[in-house]
Amino acid sequence: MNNTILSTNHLTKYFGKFIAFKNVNIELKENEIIGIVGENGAGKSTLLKCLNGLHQPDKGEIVLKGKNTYIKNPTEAAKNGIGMVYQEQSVLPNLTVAENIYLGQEDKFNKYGLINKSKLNNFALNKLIQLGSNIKPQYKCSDLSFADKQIVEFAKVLTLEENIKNNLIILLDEPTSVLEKKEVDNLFEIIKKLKKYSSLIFVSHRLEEILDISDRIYVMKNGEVVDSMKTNEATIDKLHSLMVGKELKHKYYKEDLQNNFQKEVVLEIKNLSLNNSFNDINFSLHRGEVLGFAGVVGSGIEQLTRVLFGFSKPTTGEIFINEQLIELNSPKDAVKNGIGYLPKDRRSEGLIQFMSLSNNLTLTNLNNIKKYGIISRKKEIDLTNKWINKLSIKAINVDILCNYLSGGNQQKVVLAKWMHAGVSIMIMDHPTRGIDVGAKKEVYSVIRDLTNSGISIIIVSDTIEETIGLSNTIIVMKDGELTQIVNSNKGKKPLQTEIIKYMV
Amino acid sequence: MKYIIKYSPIISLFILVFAIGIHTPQFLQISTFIIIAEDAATLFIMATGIYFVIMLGGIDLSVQSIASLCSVILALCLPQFGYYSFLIAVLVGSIFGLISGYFHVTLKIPSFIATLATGGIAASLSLVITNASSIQILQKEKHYIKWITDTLFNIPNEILISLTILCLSWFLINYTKFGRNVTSIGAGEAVAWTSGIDVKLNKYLALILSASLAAISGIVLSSRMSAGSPTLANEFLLPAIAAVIIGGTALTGGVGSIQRTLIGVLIISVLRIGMTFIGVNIFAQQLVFGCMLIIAVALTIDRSKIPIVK
Repeated sequence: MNNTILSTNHLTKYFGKFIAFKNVNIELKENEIIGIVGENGAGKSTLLKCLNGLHQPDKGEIVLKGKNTYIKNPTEAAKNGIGMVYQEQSVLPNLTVAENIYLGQEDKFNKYGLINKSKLNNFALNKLIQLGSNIKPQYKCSDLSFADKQIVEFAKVLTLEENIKNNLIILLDEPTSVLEKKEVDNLFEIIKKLKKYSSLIFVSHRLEEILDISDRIYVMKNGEVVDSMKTNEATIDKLHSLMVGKELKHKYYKEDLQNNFQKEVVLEIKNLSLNNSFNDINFSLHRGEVLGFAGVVGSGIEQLTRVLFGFSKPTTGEIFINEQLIELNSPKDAVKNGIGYLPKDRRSEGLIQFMSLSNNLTLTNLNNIKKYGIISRKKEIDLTNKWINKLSIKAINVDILCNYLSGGNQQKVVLAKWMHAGVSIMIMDHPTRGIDVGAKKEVYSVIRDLTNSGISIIIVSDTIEETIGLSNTIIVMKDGELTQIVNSNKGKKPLQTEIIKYMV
Repeated sequence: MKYIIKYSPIISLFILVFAIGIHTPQFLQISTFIIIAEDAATLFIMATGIYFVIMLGGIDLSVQSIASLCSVILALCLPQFGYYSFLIAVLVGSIFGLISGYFHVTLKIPSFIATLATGGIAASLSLVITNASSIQILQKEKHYIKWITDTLFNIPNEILISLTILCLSWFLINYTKFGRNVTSIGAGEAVAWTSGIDVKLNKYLALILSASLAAISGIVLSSRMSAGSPTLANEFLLPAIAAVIIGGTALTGGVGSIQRTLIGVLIISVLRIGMTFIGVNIFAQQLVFGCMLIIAVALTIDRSKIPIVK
């Protein structure tokens, strides 16, 4: 039996009121690969970041080789032999492969204050050979493919073994999400090689991969580890049901208030494609419809919603609004065509944090608060109060800086801002991310009110449960392709497993 | 503490006036205050332009060169075009604003580089067309500039001109779509953009406005000096930026007001005139402004939120 190299003891992490994960107990043995599965927002990535010192846990302990260890930052983690391959790659494009691999460890190649380049390149070459790669250390990283950059990241992690005696611990956060099948196979070869002298934690959405590569599996849901098992005891179906839970909460999503949508098509997408993101997408959005998108990271949903709001231009395809062909070159065009956008990241794209509630709310349409051509403060205050009452936004006055509002209230201000602009289509990118249960319920109520007043909604959500609960129709995507359109009207709600089967 | 920082500009202004007054009692006279106001007038017009750009989150370093260029253009045009010369000068100024806008917005070059380059072009252009000499406004043309150099109830007209600009700018920033958009972009450009605001257009407008106001300050200055000169407004840039920042407008944009800019300008002018009263070497003035600018910025920014400065 192998020794335990890393374990956590009731590890808990909060972001303000929001619980990222709580009471997590996991155990990693020498030369073992453990897989962690769970939906978006289940807390997997945050857990890895805690182990790597990017975040610090609020409660509980990290036990490393039997010792209680406080990991202050990634440098500290590196000293302890913990390295992470990030979801968002951290390779610097302007440096060479070798320089990236030994970034921050240049002292090893110090020769009279200068860097001994040939020694650096030789060392880096060794790491690359170890990984079975034929990338040259002298290459500029900006010239590498995504998959090759990932190999550089692996090589970077491998350098940590020069500093410690024991096994390395390698944390992999969704390493396969943007890779092609062949590249994934290649990556798995590397991981199998690494297993001989290290232990790995592998986080992924793709269950087949987890089943393929890991020795044991932990399942996370809503920030908690709900189950763990040996891989040979696991099946995809078993993992599915553990990941999403079983019951459908009709009341929670205000399904009784859900109505059938109208016949009128407000938005039609024909053959829409964006290079490397999604391909040949067709669908229609009707008046009063909630259209939910389901798919894992890398399925192209994120890029699709951003194209629909004019952040990026599609490579090919057509967008019709009310049967008129339109072009969306920037968010300005989207707003002009009656599209609103509720961003995933409220702080940087939703609200101006250090501006007052009223000024934020009227940002989208200043013409509405004009009187004789000039901005009327009185009209602005009246209007803001109207929305504060209508959406029961909790704020001491209209001049409070948005920074001081709670997450749920901020989200309501973003919604109010678009309703003030008079949009007919709302794109909601994870509308309930980071807000508490009470606020979530209120956001659900607002969504029902909006659709019943004839506004159409496109929604991308943290959980499949939420997508099913809120939507009339669900579009499932996988690897940039539309795989299935599922009816999710009141009384006809699909099971989560029916959705997931088209996702993975 | 919050209130002390908020009201520190106006408190400093009073302390300054009294401190100089105690040292040199002649300072506290109506006539001195008129001199200060006169001195402040041109600086204020220029600072107002910069204020709009800083509110946006940018900076305009071209203003002093544009002001000098426009003074030269005015002096050159007056004999031939009379009153139209003022229009021509402002038009030339606004064209330079357009050029800055093109560099900054369309070519996506940081505003400080874009406006530095535009300023360089303007400065060199005025040297070339004047052959590096100043151009006098002759006696027979003086009636054209009378509306600037005259007084109304003993108050110099240039003070009234800058008060008019104060009122217009106050209205512009508080009661128009343009003003609102400028403030929003400065406070959160990404949010403004996602809210459908035409960020590019507003940046162009702010830079054109700034350059036009620089042109007006050049016109007023040349009328006062009865001459246009390619170096007329040299040494104006630092005090103008210092005035906006000392007044309490955040260098990062989005926070500040035109009234505060006025206070900032008055502090600079009181210092400038006061230093001559006390007998400080005139060449040491920029040293004082430089120090004040750094102190004002250091006091007002929240360093904990800024991990990296480029």
